[in-house]
Amino acid sequence: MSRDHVFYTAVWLLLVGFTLAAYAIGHQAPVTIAGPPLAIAAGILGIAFLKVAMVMAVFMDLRRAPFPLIAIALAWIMAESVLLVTLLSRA
Amino acid sequence: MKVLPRHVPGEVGIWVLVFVDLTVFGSLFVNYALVRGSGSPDALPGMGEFDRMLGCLNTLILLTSSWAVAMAIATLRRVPGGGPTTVPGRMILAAAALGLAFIGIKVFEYAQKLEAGITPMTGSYYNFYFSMTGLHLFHVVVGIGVLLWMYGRAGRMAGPADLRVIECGGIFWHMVDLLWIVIFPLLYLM
Repeated sequence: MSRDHVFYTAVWLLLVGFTLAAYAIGHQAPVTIAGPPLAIAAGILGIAFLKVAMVMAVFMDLRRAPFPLIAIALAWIMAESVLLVTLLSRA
Repeated sequence: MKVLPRHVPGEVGIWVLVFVDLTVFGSLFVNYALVRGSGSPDALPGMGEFDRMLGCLNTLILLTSSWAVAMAIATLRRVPGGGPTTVPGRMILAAAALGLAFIGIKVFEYAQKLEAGITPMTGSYYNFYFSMTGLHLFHVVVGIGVLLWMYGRAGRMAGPADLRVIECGGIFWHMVDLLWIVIFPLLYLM
């Protein structure tokens, strides 16, 4: 196994762990019409977008890409995560 | 330590496709959040514990499939210009098989909903549920085709140009994975 293989496997294990953590956080508050509390929404979506960043950086190899490409990906992640947490969480 | 020069992974064209897709799905996510956040009763997610478990299982399936593709491409990078591609080939086929497992679970989920009389017309939530997961499922089907094409291409790989197009296929499959990473918490957990 090369260093890349070990790295990809470690990242995959982290992604699995984060998925299970988000699933567990989802049980902390019942699903209601009013939406989740800010802490729950930020926790679940924060983990989701951290996983998105990891997949992009590691599996899609964006960490070795030119900076403008990285900037576009980061802009999408930032815009989506802020908008979704703001719109979905209970005021 | 040797520092590699920065380069566009795969080809520029695949990134155009990725960002167009991210924009389309991103608008769907925001639209859903607007409706869900409005407090409308028919926007309340109707997912039970079993559905959540299936959604979580599908997330783990796609993450593992993505990992298999990354491992295959990492191996191909070490053996440029062809050579023993059996291991990457098997990893790519395993990724495609996991994609099929994802489809199987999704079809089971849809069948359960339809049997219970739930359709896209049932309410806002199910309208978004069927449209978002349906569009994503279409990407999974296309992605499996791409993986099978990658498998064939890896078997007759002749140089760096082949590696770049194989990388493009991998980038598409990882995009399918990352879209589900957002869909799962949005539709199943909150």
